[in-house]
Amino acid sequence: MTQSLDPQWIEKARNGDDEAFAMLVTTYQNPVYNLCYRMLGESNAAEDAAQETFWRAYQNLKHYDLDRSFITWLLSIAAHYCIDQQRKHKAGIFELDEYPDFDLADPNIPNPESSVILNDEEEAIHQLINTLNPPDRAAVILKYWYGCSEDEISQMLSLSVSAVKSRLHRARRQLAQAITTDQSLPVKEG
Amino acid sequence: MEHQPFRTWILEKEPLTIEEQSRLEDHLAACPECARLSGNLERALHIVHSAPEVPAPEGFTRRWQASLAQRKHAEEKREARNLVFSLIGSAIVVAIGAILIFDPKVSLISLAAGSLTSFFTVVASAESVIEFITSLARSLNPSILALVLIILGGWILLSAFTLALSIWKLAIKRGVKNS
Repeated sequence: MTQSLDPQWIEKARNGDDEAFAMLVTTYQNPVYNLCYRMLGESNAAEDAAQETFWRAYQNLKHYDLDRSFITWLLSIAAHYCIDQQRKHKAGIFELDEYPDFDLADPNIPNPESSVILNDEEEAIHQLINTLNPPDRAAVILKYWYGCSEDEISQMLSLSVSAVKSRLHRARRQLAQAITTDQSLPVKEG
Repeated sequence: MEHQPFRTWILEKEPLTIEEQSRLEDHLAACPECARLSGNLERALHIVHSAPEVPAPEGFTRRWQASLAQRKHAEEKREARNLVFSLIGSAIVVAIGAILIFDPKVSLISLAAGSLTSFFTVVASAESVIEFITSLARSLNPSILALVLIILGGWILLSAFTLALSIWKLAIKRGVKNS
């Protein structure tokens, strides 16, 4: 799925070595951030979600099953957190900690993050993925970005395999419809 | 035209037998609706599948380390506060227990009744304070009353401004992590 780290770092981190945990953060920051970014579609929210994912992993590291893939465990935490955030957001529940940061930067100066958001292709992907509800979105992201099997997705999202299949089926139908109904989507040839 | 089981086969994306594959291809050649569904799905999945991984912003680990220190500090404070509250709670329980055991005149019912009486006394005092303020307001000259209301309103506005400023400062402080 992605790069893996020597299990000795996980063991060290479990024994309270914060430097070892920082090494885990460095190693797995990209897949975790990418999942959060694809789920939430916004860089600040994705960073907050990725930081929260690592904090939850840090707190629960003692309960982590060493026989399980570490990245699968991390992505599972991230997916659950992002689904919860989107449900809260939809329900209009805000916590003080979730207040947006005040952006004092000059909006006219382009930065790499805004360039990513403004990229047409990224916008098309975001529009497509946004047509799905959060759990279906998580299933699609784990399946098509991370190459997870339906069995792995079922473990990561705490669903049955048949529920994952059903969610993926519905998501594919919605994605095909989204392409049909939104003619402005730039579609790659291939 | 019958679209099943072809629609299901298109959307499930499960491996098909050679015979099923051949039937699907024949159907797609004859049915523009299913052919469109299949084409659209392939294009959508291609967009999703070919999208690059978005890397974490620079300094992610550094910010993680800084936030870890803050969270640990907050956790320690919370634990200390919980410890103080549990100690106070335990002391109260022990004190009540000691009173009940060593003073035969006091029972749990009399203690509860005493607490309720104290509560109602406080409520009654609050009521009398409100009555006093109302009668004072009635006896005041209207211009003096207006002045008092202006001062009170100003004080409330100042408090609201201070609260808003605190939230803003908190947000700015939190924004530092992204710099």
